[in-house]
Amino acid sequence: MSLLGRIRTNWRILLLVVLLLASMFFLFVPGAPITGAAADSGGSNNATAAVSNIQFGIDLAGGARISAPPHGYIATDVQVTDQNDQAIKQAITNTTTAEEEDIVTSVAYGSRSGFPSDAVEVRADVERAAFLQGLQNAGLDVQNGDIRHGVSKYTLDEIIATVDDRLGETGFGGSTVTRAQSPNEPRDRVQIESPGQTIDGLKNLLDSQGEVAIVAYYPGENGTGAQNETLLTQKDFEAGSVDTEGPRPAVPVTLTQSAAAEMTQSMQESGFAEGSLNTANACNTNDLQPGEYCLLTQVDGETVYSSPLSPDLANSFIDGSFTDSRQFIVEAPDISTAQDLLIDMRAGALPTTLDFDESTEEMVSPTLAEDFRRNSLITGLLAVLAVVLTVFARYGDPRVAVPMAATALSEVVILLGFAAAIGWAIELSHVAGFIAVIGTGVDDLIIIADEVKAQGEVTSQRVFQNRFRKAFWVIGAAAATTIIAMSPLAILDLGQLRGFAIITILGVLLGVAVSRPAYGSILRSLTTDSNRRS
Amino acid sequence: MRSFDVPEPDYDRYTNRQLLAVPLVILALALLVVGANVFLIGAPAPLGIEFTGGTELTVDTTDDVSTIESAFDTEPTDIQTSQTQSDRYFVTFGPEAGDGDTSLQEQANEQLEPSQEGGDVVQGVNTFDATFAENTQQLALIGVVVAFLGMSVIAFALFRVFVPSIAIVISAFSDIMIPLALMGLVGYELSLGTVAALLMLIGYSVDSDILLNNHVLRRGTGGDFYDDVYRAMHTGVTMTVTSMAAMATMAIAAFIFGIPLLLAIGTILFVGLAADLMNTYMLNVALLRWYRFDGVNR
Repeated sequence: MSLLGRIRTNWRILLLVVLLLASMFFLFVPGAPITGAAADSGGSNNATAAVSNIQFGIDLAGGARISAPPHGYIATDVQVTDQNDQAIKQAITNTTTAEEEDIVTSVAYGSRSGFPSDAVEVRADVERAAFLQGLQNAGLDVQNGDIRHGVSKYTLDEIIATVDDRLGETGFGGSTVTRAQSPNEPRDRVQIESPGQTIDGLKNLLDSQGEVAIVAYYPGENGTGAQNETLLTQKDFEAGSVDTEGPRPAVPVTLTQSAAAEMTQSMQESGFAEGSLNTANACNTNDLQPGEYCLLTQVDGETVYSSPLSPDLANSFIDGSFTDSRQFIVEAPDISTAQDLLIDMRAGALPTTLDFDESTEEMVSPTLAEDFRRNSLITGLLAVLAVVLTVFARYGDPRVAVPMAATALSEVVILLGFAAAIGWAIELSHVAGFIAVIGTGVDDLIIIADEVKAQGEVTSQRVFQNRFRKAFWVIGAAAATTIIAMSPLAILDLGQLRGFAIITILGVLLGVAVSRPAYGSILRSLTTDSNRRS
Repeated sequence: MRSFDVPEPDYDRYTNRQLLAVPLVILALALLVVGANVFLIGAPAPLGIEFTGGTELTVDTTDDVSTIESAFDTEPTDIQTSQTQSDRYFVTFGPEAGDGDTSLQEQANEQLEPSQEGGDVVQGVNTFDATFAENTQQLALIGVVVAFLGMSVIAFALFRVFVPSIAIVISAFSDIMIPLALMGLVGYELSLGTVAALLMLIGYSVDSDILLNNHVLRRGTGGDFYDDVYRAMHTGVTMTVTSMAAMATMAIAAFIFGIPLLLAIGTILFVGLAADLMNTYMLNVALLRWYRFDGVNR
């Protein structure tokens, strides 16, 4: 009974202790976090992972962050149908720098999730006025206000998926790709975060669209000149891994059934297979000669390598056996090109490029991040020390001051444990949030202490409860205003301010619900008569 | 053993008018400064690159300031030296810088000598696009206004009487305006960090005001007005002074270590909390005294 009674009267303290133990578990037991995937993906930011399970964001771990809008415009509320689809595309290619394949409309895309049912989207870096002119030339009733600088949600999702794949293929461990919080304000944005990387490194990876094409280069119909015909793009095949055994680095690919059939047919009909057997083909990448039969490997329209068709392969096209093997080798001049090709093949092409002229970028070197990490820790500890000293100076009573400091610190420990548990990366702004939490926490604890100690000694449980309830009204009211004041920041897309606001709100909630009442209970155990009724 | 006690000012000696005069005059001066800044530069205080667009590079180099100044195609708008590391510089550029063929990072890496052999010159980059920054500006303004309105609604909901509630609102408003005016005077830039600090002030400011109002109005001891005020002061001043101690320490440490975000938050909160002491125990007390002795009877 006595034990049960104690538990009943001190359940707030018990709850605080349980939460603290849980936080310690998530902070220090290896593998404890619920989402630990990012931690063990062998990145360069794991220097700290050895000490605790806390993950650090870009500014405390080092790395790069880019937030960039995609190139393109979308016109909605337009009458696009099967009949005028082609004419619209034609008109836009006439007024803008866009190619026909850069333009998509609801005719083909309307059924896809996130693409409007009445839209024309140009996925290229074009002029707004030129796009409008093109639409109007096609006889559409479009005004400037119908055009938005950006792309459809469908396209944005595709960009995010592709960038994500590309980062994954490159081994940029722990990278994340998200869309910016507030869409269309002023433009859609893709946000890429990569620990341990530099801005230039990220941009190099992202600035190409990454469209891989295998193009046939062969003489014109009358045997003179030269023509190009795209045979394959990356959606037509599965890529293997880079093969460095042969004379040239190469990526072996396996074609899909339909692509193999189509390629065989066009190699037969164009006379390419036949012709290449009967011609001496040097196929020098930088110096293609008219009359040669060559296969070109192109990325975004640039030829990176060219080679003649091997006689074996040519024969397999002629007798049609290629549709059974479907094996094809894409050669590259060097290993790094081969690796780039592989990344593009696997991740697929970006629907449109990113506009780095209007990007927001952040980069923190590992050295600077380490400075920030150490110094912000020291700064935070000094601030806490200042609080503790002030409280001691004010109360002079360790029975009041010691639990006060301990309670305020426990709020931060629990928040850190929570962050570790859900794999939340700690940033510099969160450190500021922690200090704010300690600040408001101690404010509330002072209110409780003063209220409980006021008007002489606390003699009974009832007196204590009464005073505690009075103190709690003020604390609850203050907490409500702090949460209201911080909530716009927690919602709006204001970069580092979001983290600050979220930590502050969580801290206030935790404080009001658990730790500040617990401090009241601690104070009661220490100040009421020890021979309490049970 | 106590080493500081909260003073008990002799409120009886001053009329409400006298008590109100000081905070209101200071608020008026603050509004004048803020208004003048809005008129002159279009913002209450100079705007940082997060709100105007631009780039800040953190570079570690053995070169001196004048070499850094001439190392870039576009001249930097500002170069600051780190307090702790003599060869670390913070170089700021306007929004148009680095739009050319070579990025600012490339220029820095090519033109400047790294402080460590074979190390990187550029240690940190922050680039904000101008259009995006303008949007951030609007969002921040919306955030501050919504937060302030939300706080006002809560204040009125808690006390449901006009004068004590409006006292909270005016006091919080003044707590924000005074540091904002000081920022404008000394040319301290508005950044996301300082906006966060200004919003945080709303929370801290309201704490002590609610405490005071609660002691005077809700507790209903029916006791002496001044006793109620003094008891609220004991707690409230302790709270504010504790927070000020924390913020001053944080600001000094962050200044020494070169962590701009924490420096900004610490400084603004320190100034705002000092303003809050004045506003709570002069403006609010006077308004409450008027309400208690004159206002209620009407």
